[in-house]
Amino acid sequence: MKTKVIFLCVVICMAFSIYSYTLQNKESALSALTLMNVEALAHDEHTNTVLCVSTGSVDCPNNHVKVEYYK
Amino acid sequence: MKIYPLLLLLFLASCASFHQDNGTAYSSFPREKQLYAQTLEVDTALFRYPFRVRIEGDKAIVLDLHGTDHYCHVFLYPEFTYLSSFGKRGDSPQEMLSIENIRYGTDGSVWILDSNKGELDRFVFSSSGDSLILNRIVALDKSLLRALDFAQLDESTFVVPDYSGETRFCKINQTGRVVGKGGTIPTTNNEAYAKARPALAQAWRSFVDYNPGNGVLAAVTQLGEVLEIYNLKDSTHVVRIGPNGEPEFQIADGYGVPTGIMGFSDVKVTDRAIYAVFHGRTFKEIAQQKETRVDGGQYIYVFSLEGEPICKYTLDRYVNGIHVDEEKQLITATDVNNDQPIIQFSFD
Repeated sequence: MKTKVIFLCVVICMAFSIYSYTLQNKESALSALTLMNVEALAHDEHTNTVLCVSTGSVDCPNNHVKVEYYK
Repeated sequence: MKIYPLLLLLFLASCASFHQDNGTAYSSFPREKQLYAQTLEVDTALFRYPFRVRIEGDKAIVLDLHGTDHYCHVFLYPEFTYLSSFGKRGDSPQEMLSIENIRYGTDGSVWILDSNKGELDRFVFSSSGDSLILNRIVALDKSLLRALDFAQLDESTFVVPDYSGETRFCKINQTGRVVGKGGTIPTTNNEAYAKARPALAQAWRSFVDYNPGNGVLAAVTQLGEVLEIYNLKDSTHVVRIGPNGEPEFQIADGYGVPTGIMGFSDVKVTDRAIYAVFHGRTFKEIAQQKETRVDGGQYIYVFSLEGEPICKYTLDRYVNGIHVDEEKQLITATDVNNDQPIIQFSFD
């Protein structure tokens, strides 16, 4: 009976560890994605993938000049 | 029996993870009225894109978003006689790369936000009162990424929308350091909220205004039709969403590319109400404009300080920035489509 209890405790501990590890990995993946996006917003060196048109009040993400629209 | 506390804990934890306040929709205004502009003749051809107008006492300041030599121009009010210009365009330490907004400070000084330099600059009037002198440069905390609007909360604190999307607003002190963050983007787009927060924040770029008299901070989205009201005195938060919904966008390489409508372009919190300039044209329509291009909003929406729709003014001009004088029942506005861009509307 005592062995069974110890075995059960070990299984629970292992399951909890695996769950925590998975959760941590998910969070770091999200964090990395967020950081990547943040860098995209913060730096001008990013490849220009949007086309900014004319003069206006919309912030162009390529060069932070105010344009009429971008697409 | 022992399982109930555990279930309660799980329930509370699931409640705590809800981030959005989806807000209340509005579909119409109880009152609608047409307003007709009166042009204020300005004798100097200064402007390329007059975006903001601020008036205090006998001075009016107009921000030209695309100014060639200077971004800001000072006029005697109400005559609108030109006095001087400041905010010189350039990349030397005392010059500006861009100016997003100007605000009168609580002490009569003038603050401007240069987002491309990441600075808040304080100007004071010269002894003659005709011109402004750069008095202090405040470098903004790098963690702000990009501050696209600001309002002064009190003598030592400013608020700027959080461009990272992590929260809704950042509080910064007079040395430019972030001293607090709060709120969340009230979106229903859970996927973008979870996976592309910066693009979402970009699409939710908002203009703000704060009235220290009643503690109301209002934010309106440049895309879509969302008004948020934070009452800092009683800590209430109201979200009002118009018929055009929240900002629509698609994600392209991490950027939030607008796909819906051009929404609000300015907001003003007075002692009695909230006034917001609304465009309401789709980007498709804007892109298809040919010879007669117009830029600006043809509507001024008036909400109560609690967010209830009061009145919809339809204008005979398209405007971007407004100053509201409730005592004189006058709205001064900027019209980028006209050679005489400073106009006034009488309202009741």
